Amino acid sequence: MLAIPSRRLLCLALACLIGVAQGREAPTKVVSINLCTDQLLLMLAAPGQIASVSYLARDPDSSFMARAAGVYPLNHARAEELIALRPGLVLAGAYSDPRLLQLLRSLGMQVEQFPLTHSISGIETDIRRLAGLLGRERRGAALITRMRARLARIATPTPTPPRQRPKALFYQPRGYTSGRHTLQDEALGLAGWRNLAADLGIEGYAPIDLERLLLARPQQIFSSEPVSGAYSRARQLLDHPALRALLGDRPMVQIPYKYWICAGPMIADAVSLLAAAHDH
Amino acid sequence: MTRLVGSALTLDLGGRRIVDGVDLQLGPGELLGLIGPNGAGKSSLLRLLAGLLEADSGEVRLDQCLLADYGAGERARRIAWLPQQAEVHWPVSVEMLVGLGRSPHLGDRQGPGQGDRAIIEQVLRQTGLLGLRQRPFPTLSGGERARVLLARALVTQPQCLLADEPVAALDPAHQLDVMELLGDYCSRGMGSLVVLHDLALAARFCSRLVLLHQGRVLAAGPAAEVLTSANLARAYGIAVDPACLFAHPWRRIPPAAGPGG
Amino acid sequence: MTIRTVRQSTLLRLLGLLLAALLLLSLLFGSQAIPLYQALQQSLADTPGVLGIILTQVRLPRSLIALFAGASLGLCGAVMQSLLRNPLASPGLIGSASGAALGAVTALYFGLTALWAPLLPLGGILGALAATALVWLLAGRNASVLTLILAGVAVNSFALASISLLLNLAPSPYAVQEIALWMLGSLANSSLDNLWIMLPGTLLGWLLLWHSGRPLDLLTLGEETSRSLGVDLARLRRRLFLATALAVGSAVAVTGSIGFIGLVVPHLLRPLVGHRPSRLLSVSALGGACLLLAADLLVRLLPVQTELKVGVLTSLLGAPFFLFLIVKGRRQYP
Repeated sequence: MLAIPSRRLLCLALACLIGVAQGREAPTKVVSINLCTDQLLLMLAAPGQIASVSYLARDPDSSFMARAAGVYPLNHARAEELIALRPGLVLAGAYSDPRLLQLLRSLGMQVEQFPLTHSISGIETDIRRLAGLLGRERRGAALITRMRARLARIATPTPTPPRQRPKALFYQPRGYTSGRHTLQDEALGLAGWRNLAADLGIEGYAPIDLERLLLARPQQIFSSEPVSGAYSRARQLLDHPALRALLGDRPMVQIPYKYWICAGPMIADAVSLLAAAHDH
Repeated sequence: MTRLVGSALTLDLGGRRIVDGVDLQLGPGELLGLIGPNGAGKSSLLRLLAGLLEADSGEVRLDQCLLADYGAGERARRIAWLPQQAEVHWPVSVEMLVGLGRSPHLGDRQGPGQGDRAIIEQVLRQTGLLGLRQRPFPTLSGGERARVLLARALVTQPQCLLADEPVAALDPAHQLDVMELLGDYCSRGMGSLVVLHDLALAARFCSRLVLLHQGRVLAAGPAAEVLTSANLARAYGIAVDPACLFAHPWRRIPPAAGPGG
Repeated sequence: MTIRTVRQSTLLRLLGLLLAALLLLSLLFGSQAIPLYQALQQSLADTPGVLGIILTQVRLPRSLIALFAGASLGLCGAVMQSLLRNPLASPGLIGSASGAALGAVTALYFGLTALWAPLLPLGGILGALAATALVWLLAGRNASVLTLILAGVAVNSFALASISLLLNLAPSPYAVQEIALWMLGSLANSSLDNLWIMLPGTLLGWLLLWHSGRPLDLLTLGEETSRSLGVDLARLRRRLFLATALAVGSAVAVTGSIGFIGLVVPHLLRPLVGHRPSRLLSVSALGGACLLLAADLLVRLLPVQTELKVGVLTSLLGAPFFLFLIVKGRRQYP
């Protein structure tokens, strides 16, 4: 015969249940060591949830959330500073140093790595995943809804078939262009352009020869540069007289780098800029 | 009329006095022999007279004007300098090398003209180099090389030829040929100052001799006056009967009466 | 054994024909096939079509730059070898090319060119001049082959290290990747602007080399004899160093340091002109232009994703050439 009264047993069971529920409580000290996870973190986190973001988050040229990042301490992804922060959750990118991540895991920290994303559905997956980790599912859902709404506003209701769309492509320093299975490819499609690089069979992010580009006769060229003004041969390529001759009075449109470098809801801003280029 | 005159020439090199107050006159038609032991300063004196070195004191005059006042081109036309050491940096042909001697006369023309070519031809014949004209220089023997470089100097048709041991590498027959050739040029007005080690040759061919010892002129004048046993003992440290030097022991056999003839 | 030289006029004519042929091929062929007649028609029209643009804005500047740069390199290689009486004294080996690259990198990556465009070729020229003067000071007047090579190695290493350092410090994120371009050389994506930048210094340098054939011939007899024959050696040296710096500096400022043309071309052609320095000059200029045009053409036709740097090809040529020199040298001096 058990000496424990049944009521106590019930309280104990209830306490266990609550305990389990509280164990799934949102992490409080979240550290991001990667520019792209910085962006999503800054968009999704609750006040006080962020312990530190990477030093790149404050660079206005590459970080969309640069202003929001201003209040948080910065990290340089060094083991000692990260350990000192005692994070509840560490967010890393595809190219973060694997040895660092292994070290952090071996010290018992929860490390979540986010791979490179090349599509809008991938962006939605990332948002949902991070929102789940942070316990901010509702906010994540709102972000996705807003993004979808914006994109729907930009895309025309009855889109022109690909064959009849005006031809464009991206041309970046060192002659790189964005082919199939890139964010830029999807964005061009949503904005009503036809991506010539995809037509030419280019996969991913790859260089295109100048003569090949000229022969493809793009009607619009888009570009995106990390730092404006500083000289390099890579950058000079964009000023080649042949391109100026080809485009005539249609200048190359610059899409700010911060809309692309990380996959996130800011892609909608990029798509709206691409769509606006139709009017020139 | 004296042509090339050096007066009180003094030269210090590396702290040593190489040439000490030397007076020397080279007139037209003279074959002047410059003799003396090693290290007496003969090569340096030759360079001073050619204008390649600047004397620390004293002066060199050519036809009464200071040598330094002549332009490089004018000087190159009148004075030909032939160094002791053969220096030829590329394996060029004999003809090309000899032809370089005409450069001072070419002016703005790119290549040698008719007259230049005739002179080159003549000198090649005189030095016995016609058969070797297309041969590259490094393939020649020591004697042939010496003749080529002499030909280069003669082709300039200079008023003064300053030659530093031009016959040292030659066999006795060719030595005689070259000295006779020089004598020939001298009889036509060229003045020639030749550094020689072979005292017999000097005695035989030179109208005058200058004996240099420790940078100073020990004796100057006709060969008989300079080549005395006293002078030779003092300068060279050898005892020799001067009569032997004037014996002229060998003569050239004319080519027609050669072996088999 | 006799020297049977090819007649100078014949040689010049042959090389000239080869040059014209390579120039034509360079315009005809590229990474893409274009119909030449249509392209010509378009380029003459008021608003040129794409084919015309490719011909006049992409292929023409590239071919002309290859021509002028190659000619400068070949010519200056012949000049330096004749002046220093050393068959290894090329602009690459004695550091002129890497010095020029250092000057160009300094002018470009730190905004100086943005202030005043001619600072680019000037940087190249000053860099080349400084490097050549430094090698001259280190190696001395009658330097042996060994001393000259060592001095060249020292200056080249210093220049390369300095270029790497500068590019690391440069504000542009792409700068570091461009080291290969400056050390191997590349003609990719040249424009007519590049040609105009290069041309004044190049032509001025060539002009200074006019009438330097005869003093170089006379130097065959050595310094003193050439002086006795009327050569002003100090003035000649100054003029030739300046001319080389002008031509090589301007070329390298635009193309980067392309190796081995200044070494290989005079070497190969010297026996054909009877080892005569004056004849070697114009022949090396034509030969250098032909070589660079051919190498650049090959680079464009190779089916690789990122275009090869032209200096890679010329270096691939240079290595076996050095092997050949070694083998030949060992047979001569066992």
